[in-house]
Amino acid sequence: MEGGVARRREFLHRCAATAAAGAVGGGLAWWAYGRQRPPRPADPVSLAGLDARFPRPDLPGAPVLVVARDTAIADPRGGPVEAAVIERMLVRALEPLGTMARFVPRGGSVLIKPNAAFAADPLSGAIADPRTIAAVVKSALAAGAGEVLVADNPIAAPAFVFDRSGIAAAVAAAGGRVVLPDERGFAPVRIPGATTLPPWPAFTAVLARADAVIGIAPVKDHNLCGASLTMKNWYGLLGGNRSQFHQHIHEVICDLWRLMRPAAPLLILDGTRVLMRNGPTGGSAADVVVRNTLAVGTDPVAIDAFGVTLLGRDPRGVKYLVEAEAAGFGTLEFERRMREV
Amino acid sequence: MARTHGKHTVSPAERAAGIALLAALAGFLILLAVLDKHYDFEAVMHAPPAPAEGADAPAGAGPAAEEMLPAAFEALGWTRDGDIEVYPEDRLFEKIDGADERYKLYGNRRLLCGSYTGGDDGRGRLDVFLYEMRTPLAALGIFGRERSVGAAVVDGLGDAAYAVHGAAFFRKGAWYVQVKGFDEDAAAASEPIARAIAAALPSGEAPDPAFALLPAEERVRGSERYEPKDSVLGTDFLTQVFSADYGTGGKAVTLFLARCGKEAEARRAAYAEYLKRQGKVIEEGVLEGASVTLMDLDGSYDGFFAEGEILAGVAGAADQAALRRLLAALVRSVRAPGAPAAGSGSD
Repeated sequence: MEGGVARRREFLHRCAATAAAGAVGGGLAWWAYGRQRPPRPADPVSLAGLDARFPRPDLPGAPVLVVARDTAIADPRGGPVEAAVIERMLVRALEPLGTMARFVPRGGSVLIKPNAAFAADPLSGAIADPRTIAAVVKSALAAGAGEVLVADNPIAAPAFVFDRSGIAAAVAAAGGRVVLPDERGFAPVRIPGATTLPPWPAFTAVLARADAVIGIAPVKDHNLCGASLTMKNWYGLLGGNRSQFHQHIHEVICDLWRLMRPAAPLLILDGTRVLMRNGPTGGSAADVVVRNTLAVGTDPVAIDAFGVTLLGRDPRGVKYLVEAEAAGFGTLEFERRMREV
Repeated sequence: MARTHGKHTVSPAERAAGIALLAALAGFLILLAVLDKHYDFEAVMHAPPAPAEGADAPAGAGPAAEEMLPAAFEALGWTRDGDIEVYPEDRLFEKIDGADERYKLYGNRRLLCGSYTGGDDGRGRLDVFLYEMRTPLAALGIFGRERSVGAAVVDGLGDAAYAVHGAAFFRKGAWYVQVKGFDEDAAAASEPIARAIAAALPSGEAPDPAFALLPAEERVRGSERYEPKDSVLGTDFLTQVFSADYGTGGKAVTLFLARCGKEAEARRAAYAEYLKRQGKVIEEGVLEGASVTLMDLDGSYDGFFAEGEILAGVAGAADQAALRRLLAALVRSVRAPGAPAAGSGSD
């Protein structure tokens, strides 16, 4: 009996030793394998704190959308709108919303996110007009902003895009600064309530620095989502190979508003020139019409619904706007909450 | 029977257990090696590109990029600003994010880009985009899809061309070329530069014999379109749609045909149902020997018929007389092809 017990004990010891050796060997192999894998992304961050930095003063009875037009001096040849005209339209449009001072914390950092997706001529209608961006930079600084940063993530050659489009020069002349995207400025973001967008790299460096955010979008046709306006503009904050979301672009646009909503950004729709077809890149001057219209608001669904009408289309034909209204992000019935100045 | 190793005695059960553990460890290491070879994030994230219609052009065909986008168009006084950019189909989004899917739908091979400066004071600017599509038909398709309404047809530039202020667009073989600018210098130089590029491009085969089934008479020159998935008629069930505009003034009428294979009759029925949601049938009868359906779509008149593996029709006629005339011409053309190929017709 004792001999049998001893053998069993020895057997178990040997099994344990073999298993331990296997575990050590396997662990070393796993460690070696892990060193060869692509690096695991950092834990996603949340930007939920954006809303607490600058509580915007209430303004009872304020419209959610203000539209300014200046068609009396439109260039019939479709040339650039004068900067002074845009500045006047901006001041008029902001007045019913409580002026720029309501949206800009005194001494704070303001982030302007224009649509600067392509190295395109502003006359193409494919990007926000540099004159409009400059007007907003000046307005924010005049309202007491400590700094105004302008940032977007055009995928290829960001410096070239900002230079070629004229945005870099216009921003510098207005007193702002262009922040170029750099991989160190991106971190994976987890969006609370997101339906489609997984934790994904976004240009968090500029968002984390901002006390207030302003989006400036052109009005343009879009091959995938029908219309590219203020809600689609936030797509430009994404990094990585974001083209893989093209098949779910409507859902991703709504998810991006879930990201930005806590920051309650001021939304500006640059309808000075409208890209009616062949968007989002545009083809030629024949695809563009001059509207000399500037819309300013806080309701992304309302302002974008108005923008769709500048394209001569029905807002209810744009899927992401219908989904955004259903999600409670705003109203497609913009006429009720709009004021024309 | 137990065996002795050194001072230890190894029983058969111990030996079997040891072998099993070692085998498990070896299997684990092999699994890791296999996983390591197959763990490819890019392969997981990317959808494969859609197969192109028709036969591909041979890989690497065509002149060198420097021949098409030279460092300077010296005779014209324009100089390239920067290097030539090259984007294969799976990286098109880096240059034309959002529009890239439009090109993938038709089948793209790559995009070459060059930016040029020149003009009277050297401050004029032109961007040149050369899309190498997978087939001449793909080039025709994207060219027609992006064509600006009312743009002027340019003769003798590639296989088909048009121009708007500051820009010229043409297709030649499997290439679709955009020479785009907005200033006055660009307006003067875009077409000459386009011609210089066209001279460097190889000729291609005719896009598709299907266009010969559309009547030549009254066809608006340069209006031919091809859609892998219908975006002209507004259906979601028609594919391989060939169309062109007709008329010598006023509102253009579209004549189309869709390759349906054995589904032609089913597609005809589906198309009838689709149109009935928008209007009413005014006649189901025989025209030129074909069974046709004529529709009144709230003041606009459509008609269609199925013939063999083809669904063909007229969309947007101003009155019933025009509808009957064009539909009869289409029936004759489908049944007895021989009309001139794409590119001929009236202005």
